[in-house]
Amino acid sequence: MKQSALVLLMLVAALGLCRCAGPPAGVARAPAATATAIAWVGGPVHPEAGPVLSALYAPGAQNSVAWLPDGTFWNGDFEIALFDGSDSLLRFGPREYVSGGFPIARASAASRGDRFEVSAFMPWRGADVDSLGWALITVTLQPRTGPPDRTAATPSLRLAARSGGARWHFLDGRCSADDTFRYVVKGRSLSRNGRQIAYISGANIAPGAHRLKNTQPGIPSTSYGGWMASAPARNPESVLEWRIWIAPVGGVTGRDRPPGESSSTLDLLARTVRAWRSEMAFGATYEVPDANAQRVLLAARSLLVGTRARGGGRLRFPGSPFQYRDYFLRDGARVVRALDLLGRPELARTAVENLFEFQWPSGVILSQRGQLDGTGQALWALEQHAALAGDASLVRALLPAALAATGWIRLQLRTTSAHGGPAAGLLPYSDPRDNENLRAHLLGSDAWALAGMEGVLRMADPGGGSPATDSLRAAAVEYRARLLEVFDREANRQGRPLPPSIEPGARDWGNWSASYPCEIVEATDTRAIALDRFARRRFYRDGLPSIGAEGVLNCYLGFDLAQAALRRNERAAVLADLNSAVRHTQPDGSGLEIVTREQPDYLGDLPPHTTFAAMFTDLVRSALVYERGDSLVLLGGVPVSWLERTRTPIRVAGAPTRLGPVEFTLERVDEGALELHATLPAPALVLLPNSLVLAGVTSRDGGPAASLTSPHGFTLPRGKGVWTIRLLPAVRTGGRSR
Amino acid sequence: MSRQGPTTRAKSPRANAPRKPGPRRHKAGRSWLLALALVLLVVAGAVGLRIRAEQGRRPEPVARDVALKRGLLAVARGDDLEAEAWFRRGLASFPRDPLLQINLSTALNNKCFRVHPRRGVPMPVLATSLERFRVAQESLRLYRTIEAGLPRGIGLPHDRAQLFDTWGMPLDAMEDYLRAQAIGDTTRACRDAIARISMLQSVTDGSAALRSVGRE
Repeated sequence: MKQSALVLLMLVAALGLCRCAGPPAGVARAPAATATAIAWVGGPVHPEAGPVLSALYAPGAQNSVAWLPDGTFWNGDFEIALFDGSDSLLRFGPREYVSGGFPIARASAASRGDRFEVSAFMPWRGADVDSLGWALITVTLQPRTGPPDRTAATPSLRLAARSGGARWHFLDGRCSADDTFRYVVKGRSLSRNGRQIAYISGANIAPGAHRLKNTQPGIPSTSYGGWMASAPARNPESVLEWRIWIAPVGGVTGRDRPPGESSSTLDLLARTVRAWRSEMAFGATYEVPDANAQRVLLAARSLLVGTRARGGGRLRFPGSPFQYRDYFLRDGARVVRALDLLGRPELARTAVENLFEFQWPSGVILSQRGQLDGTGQALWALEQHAALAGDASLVRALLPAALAATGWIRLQLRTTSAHGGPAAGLLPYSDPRDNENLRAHLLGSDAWALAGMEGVLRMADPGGGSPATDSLRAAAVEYRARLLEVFDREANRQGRPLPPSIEPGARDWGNWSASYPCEIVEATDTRAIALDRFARRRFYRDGLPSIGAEGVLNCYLGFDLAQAALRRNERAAVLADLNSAVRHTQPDGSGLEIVTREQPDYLGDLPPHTTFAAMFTDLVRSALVYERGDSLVLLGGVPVSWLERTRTPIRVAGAPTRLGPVEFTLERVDEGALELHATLPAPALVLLPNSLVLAGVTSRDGGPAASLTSPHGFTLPRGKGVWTIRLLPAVRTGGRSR
Repeated sequence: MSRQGPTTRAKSPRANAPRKPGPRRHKAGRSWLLALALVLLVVAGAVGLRIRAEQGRRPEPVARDVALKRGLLAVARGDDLEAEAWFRRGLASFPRDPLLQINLSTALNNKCFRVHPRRGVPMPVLATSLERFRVAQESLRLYRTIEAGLPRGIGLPHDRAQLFDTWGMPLDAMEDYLRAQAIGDTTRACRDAIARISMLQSVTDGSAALRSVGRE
């Protein structure tokens, strides 16, 4: 019998291993982390970025929780709210976050002489195995200090749930279809309409210590129910701790328990911080001396790698943790490039595959109805990944699909040519039901389609000139000429540069991508310059574009214009854009899609937003290094303040470029000199801010010499070396570049 | 209680005592057989449960006309989910019925864009773009399946055109609307759709063109 038991045990173990054998092939495994010292930091509160909201998420998890500005916790289906003994909602002070950009927050609230401390995060072990994503909220009622006050009320904590309510309560598409609810408290579980939505562990809860209030069925979504109260503390000086586990959207069965429920909050926090540190340590390093910009950069990285969700074995990249928990080609393409720039090709590869899942039998790649720019965006993303990660196997696998997509684009162009009219030779009209806000011939869609076609050409014929791609090449050349012709005709007709559509009335959107990243016109082309000037004059408020309703600012739309400005060496404009973006972020560094002072509810578009994260990452990377033909440009967008002696060095390591990985460190060594350590895959042009004037550049280790090209720039050869950059004394005391 | 009597002290076995080959081998073999039987039992149980679950999922058989009628009533009410369920039940019994297939295909595509109120907020019936895309592909596959069973020259271009039209691919839709006309579709819906796409493609003010079609 012993053997049979052993066989059974092995069978069970094998089955178990099959189901949870860690991350699947292709997903990098986190290296073991060591130190777990946790530092909490508070970020600056920018009133321009709206009320403070903290996102709680973890890689692999299928759910997220928002710690809302009013102090409640909302997951898109139900809210858990915390009250003091007199049923007043706990009002929290400034939030702090674990240093490093991780989505782990804490805050404290004072009420009736008591102080509650709350930490909130999604426990995570590392890797991105399937998980539903329970969030853990730990509330500690701190012991009262000073002489005992017999007249003071007994300290207590209450909790209640509701299923909707006021602003910020976006609905998750998977939320329960019920309109009215019944909340039941049983032991440590809080259930709603038969599904468990929260579980409480902790020492100071007495079984059955709930209030009989709103226990009947039929509670509307705006009312609280399922009240639970802490057992009265025997001694006001004792610590009361509640650990509230918020279940995923839709709830779970009453028998389910959160993973890690038996561990202490401290253990779970230490483990989660270790996992996040390992995750963030992967890939490329970009370190800038500006603490605020670095905070936003880290938060962007955390979001880009952290919102990935694994379900049914497949990894996916939702558009945002909250109301855009959906898949969009428009956002997904930017995420692919950002993941590659962050040196996470294994994630970028999956993200590209996700985009191509939206391919129709005709070849078109379309995720949302009427968004005809999706085909070009998916093709562009594939080529970005191919160039930055050198992923030849994915190109081989997807090239037939990519060629089919170009076939669909070419068929559209032929059909509109045959039809004639003002939009002949372009994509047909479309109604994306997005920010363009008009059914029209949207020229931004054509810009993306052409960028995609040219990307496929580069992948299909890397050397150029292969007869097999002659037809595609000719089609791309013709398409480019036609698109420029229509852009110019419409610019004359509508009296503005690079208009968004042939029909008047569309909002500016895809047309701002015509120079960067679509490269339909050079950044130095008069059309791109005119668009930049026009857009800044007409649409910018408080440093950000406002294309829709008055006062509603878009936090990422202007990044493509900033990228084009960077390529024109308009450093002041780039720095102004970068600072505006940073100024409109949350204290943890999270960026938004839209923000308005008039309606501080983000118009239902809660931060953080992955497109902001992706485009901000791209802009900071470009400010440090970007490709220009077969060479690199370094420091083209850094302010002089980053090069001050008191600052930490600028550090770039393992950063992928089209020409190979680049690595450099730049540090001010004394008042008149900078030291640059660099390993360059190609020759580089180093551009210093105009307020720094070069006296000379010498190689410190006998390596190749640098050549001065201007008072602020010099070139370096390919390879590794250390250079001392000497500055003229008259200028080094000068002010900042802005 | 020990079986040994108080006077006969049993010799404790040696840790490395030589094994008696015969009966032990027999005992081991029996254990393996038992284990095998147990494993087979577990596997058989799992398979049985799966079959039962499959049977549970399979819809109850229903008469074709009933399924069609109930499904169409649900369509008229705008309840694509119920319509889909009825058409699927009908197809479970009559898998090659083209009418059930066509209606299922249409119900599926309608479902892609259907919103229903949840807690007072209009929400899409299908939560994500990926689900909507997959359902649209199933709808397209159904059209192909139906067309494969139809005589040559007869197809469902009008239905497919409507699918492309709702997904915002006007030229793909136009191609199928024209094909529908070529095989004898003289419906006003087809004519209007062709006129609408042509006008929107031609004129420089899309909104004006829309208004013009709306007045027709």
